Amino acid sequence: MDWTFNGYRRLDGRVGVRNHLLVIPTSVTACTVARRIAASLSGAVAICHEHGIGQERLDAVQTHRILANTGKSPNVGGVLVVGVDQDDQIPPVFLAQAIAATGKPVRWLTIREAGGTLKAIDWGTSLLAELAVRAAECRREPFPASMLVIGSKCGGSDATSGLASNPGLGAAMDVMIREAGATVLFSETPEIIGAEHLVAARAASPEVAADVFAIAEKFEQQLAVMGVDMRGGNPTRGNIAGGLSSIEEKSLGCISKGGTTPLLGVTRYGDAVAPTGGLYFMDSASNDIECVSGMVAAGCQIVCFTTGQGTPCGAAGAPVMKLCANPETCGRMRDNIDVDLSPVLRGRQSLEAAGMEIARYILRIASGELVKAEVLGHTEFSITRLAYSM
Amino acid sequence: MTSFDGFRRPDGRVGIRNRLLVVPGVVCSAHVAVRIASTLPGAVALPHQHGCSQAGYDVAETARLLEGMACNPNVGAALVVSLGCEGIDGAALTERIAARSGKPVAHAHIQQMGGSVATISNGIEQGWELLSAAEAAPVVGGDLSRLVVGVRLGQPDDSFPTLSAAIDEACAAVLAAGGTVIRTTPGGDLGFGVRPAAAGEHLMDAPAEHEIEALTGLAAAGAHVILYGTGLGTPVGNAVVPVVKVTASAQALADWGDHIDVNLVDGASVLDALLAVARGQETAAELLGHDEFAIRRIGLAL
Repeated sequence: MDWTFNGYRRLDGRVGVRNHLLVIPTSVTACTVARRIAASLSGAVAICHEHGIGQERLDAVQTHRILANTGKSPNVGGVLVVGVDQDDQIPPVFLAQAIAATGKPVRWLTIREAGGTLKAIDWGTSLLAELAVRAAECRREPFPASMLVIGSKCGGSDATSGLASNPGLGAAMDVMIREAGATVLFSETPEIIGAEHLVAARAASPEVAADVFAIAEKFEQQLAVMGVDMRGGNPTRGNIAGGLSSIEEKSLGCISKGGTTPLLGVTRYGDAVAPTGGLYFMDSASNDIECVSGMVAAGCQIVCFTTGQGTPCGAAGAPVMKLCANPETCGRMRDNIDVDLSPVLRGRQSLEAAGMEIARYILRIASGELVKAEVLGHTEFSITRLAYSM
Repeated sequence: MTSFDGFRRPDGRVGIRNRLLVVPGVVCSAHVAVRIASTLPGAVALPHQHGCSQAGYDVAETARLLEGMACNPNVGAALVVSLGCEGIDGAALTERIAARSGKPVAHAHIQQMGGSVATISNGIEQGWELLSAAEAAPVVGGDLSRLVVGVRLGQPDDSFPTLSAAIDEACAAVLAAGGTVIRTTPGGDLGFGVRPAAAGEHLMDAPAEHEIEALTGLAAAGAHVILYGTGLGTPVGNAVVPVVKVTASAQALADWGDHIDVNLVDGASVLDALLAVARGQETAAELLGHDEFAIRRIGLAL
């Protein structure tokens, strides 16, 4: 097997599998303008969100960090930052500078200086067109698969997730790490609860094991402060209908999507993960869109997403491959499912064979093959919230 | 002359707009909701990033605010779009909206209908029927006594004494006619997004700085129209409520001229603008397509 793909070389040494133009509003107030600018050029995506005004410091800092890291994603060939005013809670110039540190072309504008919505759309479209011309100069060239950072996620889980699709994806992640030298980031802190000792047992060092226990404990403490039992939110209503009895049962199935290689580290939500090979765990909510957005911000060029009940979830800036082992869902939601793993559930395909097939498919996606979420235009994005608005 | 023609709702309220609101029950169905709304004239979607993996108060709060938006009198009919496995129960949300408002409401369900494409197609079909049902709303005469007017003031500046006085004067006319005024402030005694039980003046708890959350709270509380007094200028609007930008600041007029509805520097009247908007005149935010939305949450996501 030739573990290479054709990608886009970035000046910071990373390699993209897509060449998107990203339009980033610094606040919810700038979203309408950002969306309209992005709509005017093909290949452009706006990452609309509900933040960036009246946020407590921790939230404002996190919003800035996630927006900046999303702009830095190797899948992004050019960025336009849209602010309302220069002294927005997240100043557009700071965000633009943070992203420009990667060497990619970045421009910014404010709606106030443009003179309102229409003039800002006009100005922004011109700036984005210039960025598009520069981004279009990039050409795909061959790279080793060790340049890939792959997100591993599950959502809309049911009983088939833990039985087949998560272990199948885990087998693929093992192949990508062991044979291709890639880096894998799996996540969802609420879904290691009850199984944290099993994740910690795979840690490459006592420090990493301690980090695993620490994030699980911190999460449970935060929940206690809110005065709620996590069983109110997870497993979700749908998970229970899908045959999952408890968070422990859900967790046992969930952690298998990370495969079986040693866990090399625990990373903060949305922090960059370098393509140095091996398995990492990101401390994140399991909310599909928040978690996938965090993976894209971390630099994952591709996210692999297992589902039992089916979900259309995509991402702004990265292909999200959907895998499912529930035969009913694979039929009913075939518009949204890329990989049918029901043969694994039926015992007609081994996990090893499925893992190899998925790994090969990952390389095809990396070289430009579109997943269904991309074809359908799913570009969801959101950022985990830490506190109340002011 | 303080009368206008509006749309009579089954709960007795009078709407000044007749929108079809497409409400995603969860972030996962937001894209499908946006696609459905984009094909239907007069439809607006309410994309948001909540509805799943939320704990306790946040789940209930998200469902309550979505319900409040759909029950706003400017909404003629609503289509709930759910994924299926999320924390918010889309069928229950649909039933609550129907029970509380009596409006035509339908539900599209991605996991049952079989994915994005099938649900978009089904949603468009159901949406057409809902639009026809909304069109059938009887037109009735209304006056200031029937209006719920939301008020939000931006960050204070030198123009604020003039600005506040002009808005106060319009509010006084609404109150004198027996109407309702809801102002916003952190710690107000009316709950965020809660419909006032009686006419008169109310102070709603809402963030001072997060303008979009504050506008959402007013819309969910049933405001027909929002008077937004601004010195610095802002482009924002709302999906179901016309937001009337009022300013007495020459700077705001210079920087945000396209967005200002009431120019107090030139002596325009807030009450006249309010009535014109109630009679159907579109605000700058409506013309420019500003339909921002955000809701408050208190806790971390699961």
